[in-house]
Amino acid sequence: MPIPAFSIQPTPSNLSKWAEIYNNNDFLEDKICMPQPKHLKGLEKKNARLLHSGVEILKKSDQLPLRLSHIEIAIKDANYIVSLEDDWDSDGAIKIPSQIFNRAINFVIDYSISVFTNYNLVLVAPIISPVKDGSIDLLWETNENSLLVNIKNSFANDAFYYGVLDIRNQKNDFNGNIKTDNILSFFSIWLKEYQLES
Amino acid sequence: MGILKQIISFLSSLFGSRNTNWRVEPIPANAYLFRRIHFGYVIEDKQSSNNFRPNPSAFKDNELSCDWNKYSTPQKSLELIGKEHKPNKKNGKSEFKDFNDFFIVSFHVKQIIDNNYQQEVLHNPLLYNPVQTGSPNNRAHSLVKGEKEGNEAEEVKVRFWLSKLSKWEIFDETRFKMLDAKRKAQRP
Repeated sequence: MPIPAFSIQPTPSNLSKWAEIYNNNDFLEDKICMPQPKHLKGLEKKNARLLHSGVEILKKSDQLPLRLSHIEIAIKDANYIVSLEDDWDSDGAIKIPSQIFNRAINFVIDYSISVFTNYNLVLVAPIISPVKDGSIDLLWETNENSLLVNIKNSFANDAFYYGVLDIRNQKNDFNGNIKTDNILSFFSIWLKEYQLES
Repeated sequence: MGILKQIISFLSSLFGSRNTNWRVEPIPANAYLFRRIHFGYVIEDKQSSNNFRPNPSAFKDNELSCDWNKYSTPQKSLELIGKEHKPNKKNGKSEFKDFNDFFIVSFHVKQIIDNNYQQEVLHNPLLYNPVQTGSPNNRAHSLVKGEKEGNEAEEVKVRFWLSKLSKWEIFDETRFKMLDAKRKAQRP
């Protein structure tokens, strides 16, 4: 049976359809939301790897509370990024490494949960974008504020940020760098300014 | 008639440039620069009446190529894209870029200078003799250069403001939505 395009994300409600597609009972019995490489008979390794990274992301995003479902949607909308090939902008952009994409997504999830848990505040969903050097930009915006974080394409867990608290006043801004492997309280406090309007 | 025009255009591109002296000129603060934006670098804009704007990632280049309005127009900038080769060959063959994948923004040189972004605006005309297929001559070509390496936090700031300050000269929302949907349908 030909392997279908992965335009449909498997969910608990369509697991049986996916199992039917792959004709694989293990998949159904595992009760997982995304088939693991072992379930994908005949699938080329490259796609299996992409799916495997998808498994990790989906499991992590399952931790998001219901009130942060808009952030889960933004993450799913950004999944196309891992399928971009070299030269995706017709101007020499490089492919986004899956570990950098995962690092960016984990950053979004961790801080969204942290701000929600510690301050009972719901952040806006960031715009998640590829950059031509293989890094990822995260942009949180409200009507008045913006915060741009660049998750570097490097072994070190580095990110650089620039934020402005009043878009009409450039002087009311801040910038710097942070590590992405820990939640830093000062950065959570900055992020509080980027709440979803109720 | 169309073929005749193409022949004249070809001959003038071949011979016209030979005696041309495209000296580097200072770009005044009241000039405008045109910048191409690939559809992959367009985002929704929540802070203005425009529905979309270029993403800050559209300005990620240590030397940002632009066209000076003294020698170009938005339409000319767009058409020039179709005469350029993509940087990567496909199956050993060069491919031309598709100008339908791009839009054009402009920004005011004064805004870059006045806001102290530590960027220089330099005229950098491109003149190949003999003419090279895939690398068109471009008298308007200019660069926005700055210390971006080793100063990443500042670089993120500059990209952000270039994104905010630029204005659409050529943008087609319908075409963008079609291209964006096609790209996102290729997700894993």
